[in-house]
Amino acid sequence: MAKSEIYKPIQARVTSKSPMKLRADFLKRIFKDKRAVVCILFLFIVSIVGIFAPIIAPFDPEELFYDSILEAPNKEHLLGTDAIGRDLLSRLIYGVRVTLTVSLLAVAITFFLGTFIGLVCAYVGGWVDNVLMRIMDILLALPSIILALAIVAILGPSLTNAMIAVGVASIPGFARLIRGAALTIKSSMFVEASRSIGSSHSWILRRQFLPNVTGILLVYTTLFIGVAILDTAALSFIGLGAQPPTPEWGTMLSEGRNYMQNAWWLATFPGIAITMVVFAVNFLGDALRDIFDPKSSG
Amino acid sequence: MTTTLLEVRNLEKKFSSKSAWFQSKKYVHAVNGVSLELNERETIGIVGESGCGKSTTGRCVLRLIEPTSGEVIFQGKDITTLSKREMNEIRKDIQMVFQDPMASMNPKLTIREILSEPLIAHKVPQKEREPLLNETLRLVGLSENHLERYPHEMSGGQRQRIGIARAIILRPKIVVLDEPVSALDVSVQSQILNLLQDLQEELGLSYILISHDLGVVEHIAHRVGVMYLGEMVEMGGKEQLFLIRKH
Amino acid sequence: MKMSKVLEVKGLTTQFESKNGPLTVVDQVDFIVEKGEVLGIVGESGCGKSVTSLSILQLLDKHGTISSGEVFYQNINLVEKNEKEMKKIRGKEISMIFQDPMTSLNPVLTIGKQIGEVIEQHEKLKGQEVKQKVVKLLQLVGIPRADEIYHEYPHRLSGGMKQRVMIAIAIACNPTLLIADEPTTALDVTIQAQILDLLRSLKDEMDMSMLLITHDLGVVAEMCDRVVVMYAGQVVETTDTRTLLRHPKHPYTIGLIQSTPHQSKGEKRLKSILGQVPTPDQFSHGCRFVERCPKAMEICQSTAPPLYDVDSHTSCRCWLYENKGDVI
Repeated sequence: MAKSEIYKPIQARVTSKSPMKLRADFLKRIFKDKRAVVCILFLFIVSIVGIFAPIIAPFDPEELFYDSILEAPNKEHLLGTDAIGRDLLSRLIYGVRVTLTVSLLAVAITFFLGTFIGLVCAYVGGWVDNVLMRIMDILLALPSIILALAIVAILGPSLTNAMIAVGVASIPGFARLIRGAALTIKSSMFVEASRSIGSSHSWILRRQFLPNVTGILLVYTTLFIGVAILDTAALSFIGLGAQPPTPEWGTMLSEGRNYMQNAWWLATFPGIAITMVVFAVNFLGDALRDIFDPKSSG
Repeated sequence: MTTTLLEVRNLEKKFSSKSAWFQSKKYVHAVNGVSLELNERETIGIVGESGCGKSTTGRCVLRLIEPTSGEVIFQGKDITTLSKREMNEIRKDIQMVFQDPMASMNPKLTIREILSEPLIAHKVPQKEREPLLNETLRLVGLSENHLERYPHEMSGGQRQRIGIARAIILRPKIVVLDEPVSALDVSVQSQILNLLQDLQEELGLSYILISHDLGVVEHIAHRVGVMYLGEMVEMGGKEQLFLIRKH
Repeated sequence: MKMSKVLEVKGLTTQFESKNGPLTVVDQVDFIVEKGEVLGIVGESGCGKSVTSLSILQLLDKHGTISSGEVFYQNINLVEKNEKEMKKIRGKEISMIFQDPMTSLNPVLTIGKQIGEVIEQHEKLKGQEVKQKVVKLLQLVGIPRADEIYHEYPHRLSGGMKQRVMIAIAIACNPTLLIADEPTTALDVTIQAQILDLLRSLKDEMDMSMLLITHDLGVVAEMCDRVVVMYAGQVVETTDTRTLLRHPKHPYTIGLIQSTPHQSKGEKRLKSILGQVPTPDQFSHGCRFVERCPKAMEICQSTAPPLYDVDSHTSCRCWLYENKGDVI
């Protein structure tokens, strides 16, 4: 899926539905949407696997089997072993923990700072908006992975720094989307009504803006998780993220690359894992977008 | 023995149109030297076509749009010079009813939350809120049963009653009515106009009524101003309006 | 002059899907548009007047269906036509103008292109001929400097001008019937009068019939020969305009006319109709107006009144007229 798709703006929708009904209605519509259900189910299973990794994984991910180096998938090692004799399946299962934690934390950074900057820009306007948005524009001119690279280069390679880098690198895109959504709300009559009443700024932001952007936030956050997983894996792949022997999918992919000729399984399975999870997240994001998009609902 | 409540002197609003860098700015004169006086318990109508500046004038009085120059004198003070905080105090006395009641209410809030907003903003003590809510709802012809509903669960006329309730809940002195009935069905318009007249009598309100509908203005206003291209071209008693219609 | 029917709607019923089953938005609507006349459909929002017009051209969205009834256009039943056949009729035989000219025009095409497209679709004209026809049309709808406007984009025009362009598109192929759905509601008062004038003169000039949908009794008085009043999905009164304004029959029509500010000049309070317009899921089993009617009787609560013929050209759906004519 093209990453640029994410930047397709969603119109802030001022629904005529009550939050209670909206919530019930919303859940009903999610569960009516087969794609969404399948994706949620898949991601749920993946998360369970990650959480219960010590129970599910057949071996310790860092345990070395000296007598079975570069073994093809077989009965004992279902997905084979790597160059120093570690069980690939166990490493993949433990990798879920690393990948999901890192990408979720990265998105949390994007979410809080991006929402904050977006709302402030839209609400305050004027030179604050101008300055912040021009900075965001400059950062947006670079692909987010390059920006992440630059940040890691400054902070030094480590998983924590990769997480921060990925999170920060997505802020410009996220902030811009939230700003756009918030601008439509700002120009709405009910915000003007609030001003005419003399309500405080924080009240207007809390009671008038937030309830109307929650749907949009949910969609974008989901879509950005996909980006975060990919970016984290990419940073690890080039050696700037997780350091060996941490079982991280990107690192594993990179390690397996050297053995493509004689041990195909080493690069293939982490690759499939990354693809499937990112695919599921993006698919879910798309389903959510359809559910929230005014044009798709009758 | 009428006393002047609000006086607008030479109100002017220029909007700078967006221009490219290094180009000299162009201005659009939305409101150009409008003056009017509003007496206690009086309704002034402002009529004109869309784009004539009548809505901008109304919003300038409340400083929802900052006027470029001119004075708005209320209770002996020029409110265009007040700080934002001082202005918020004044908003208790000058409220507004909007054209589209659906658009002017957050669809995610209940009627109780919508009507409580002015009470919270102006720090009305908790225990006075409930009686005020109930009494105001009764004044606009609704009951407390409506409090837990959402705007979309009501009809257009009921929603505008809520819009009016929100404007009068703090018992203001002046209410700016911006096209209060033009989004409503014909059979409901007259209900709302009657309600506005009743409220004026009961609460001693003064109205600035902005409308494009001569019929509406003629019915409810005591004096009428006609705006054309940002200027007040005529101001006079209702009888004069009849002449305008002849044009 | 012998009148002939251009459009005859018989028992038209349109339903919309909803969570709680189908809602009947238009219920058993009958009316006839005679050649050369302007028939008005008046009613408040939600009365089904717009859905009626969309049903005629089968422009309903996916949730709406015509569940019964017939629409005869020159003896062809439009309800039986499929989408492809309807495309030939829309624009060429029957065309439509909508309320909002701002959203009906494509912002990225020039005015000339947009009008030209319609002509190319329905007529075998090419290149220069199309352009000439477009310019002629623009002049016909009273647009000054038609040659220049031809190359302009919609956002350069005012609301009134855009509506004129929409009218030019609608009349481009000399339709027999023009359906105008609230053609002036989005426009300024002074522009409204101009557009109405234009529509009236075009109607005569091009020998069209017109179906005018509006909520505004002022527009009806200006434009229409006969009027159908709709309330809550049903026709409640059909008569000629003069009779409607001077001697309205149905209590709803009476209330509607009395509640307009112009009518109650000098009186301190306006007369008004109590209550709210019911939504389709709230329709009562009896008369749909019963809750708001000042003259409601017992029978009105329990049984829906049929449409009574009050005299040769007036019919009214009200029990008050039970003994004054025969049920049609």
